[in-house]
Amino acid sequence: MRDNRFGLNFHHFGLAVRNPDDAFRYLQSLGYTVSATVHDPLQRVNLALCSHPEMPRVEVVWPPGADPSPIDKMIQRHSGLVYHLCYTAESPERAVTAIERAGLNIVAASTSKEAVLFGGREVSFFFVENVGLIEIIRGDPAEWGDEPAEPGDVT
Amino acid sequence: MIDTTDIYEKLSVIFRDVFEDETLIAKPSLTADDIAGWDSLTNLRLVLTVQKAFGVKFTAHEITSLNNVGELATLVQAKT
Repeated sequence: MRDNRFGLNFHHFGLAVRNPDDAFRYLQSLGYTVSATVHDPLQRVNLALCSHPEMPRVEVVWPPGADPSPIDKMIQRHSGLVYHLCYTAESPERAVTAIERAGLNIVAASTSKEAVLFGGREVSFFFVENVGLIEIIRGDPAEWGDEPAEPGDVT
Repeated sequence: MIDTTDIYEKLSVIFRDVFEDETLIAKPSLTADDIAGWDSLTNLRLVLTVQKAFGVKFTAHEITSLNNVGELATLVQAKT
C-alpha cells in the first residue's frame, strides 16, 4: 500500500456539461451505467453518477434549466470540462490540515452540504492552488453499500 | 489596517494577473458579470491570490457571500 498522507480516497471525476445527452451516450458506449438524474437544490445542479466495473466513476453535472447554477460561466466557455476530483475521507478536516501541512495552498470553496446524489452524505469543495477543485465526501464508501440508483429509480 | 486606495491598487494588479487583462481596474461595483472569464473556478483562484497577497484567510461562508469587489475590499480591510 502506498503512503496516503491526506487520507483521501478517489471517488469520481466531475464532468460539467451544457447538456448531458452526449456525455451519457459517450459513457454508455464505453460500458458505463448511468444512474438516475438527481436535482441537487443546495448545489443548484443536476447530477448523474456513471459507474463502470473497470474505469473510474464519472459524475456528470449540468445546469438545472432556467435557474442559475455555479457552473454556468464555466460551460459557456467549455462545452464539457472535467472540473473537479472527488475523494472520500473519514475526516475532511484532517485531510485539509494535511494538505496545508504539505505546503499546498487550499481554500474552502463552499460550506459543507448534504449531497442528494450520495444519500445526503456531507460533501465539501476546496480549491487547491495549481491542482484545482476537489470535492470531499465524508465517510467510508465500504460502509455505504448504496451506490446511486439505476435509471428510473430516482428523479 | 491598510488604506482603501492601497487595497484597490493591489487588487487591480491581482485582477490583471488572474484574468490576463492589463486594462482591468478593481472598483467597488465590479462583479463576475463584468468579466467574461470570471467563472466559479477562476473566482477561487482569485480568492487564493488575494489571501496570499494580503496575508489574510477567508472562511467558506465569507467567500460565498461576496457580491462584488467592494465587499472583497471591505473584507480584506477588516482582516488586515
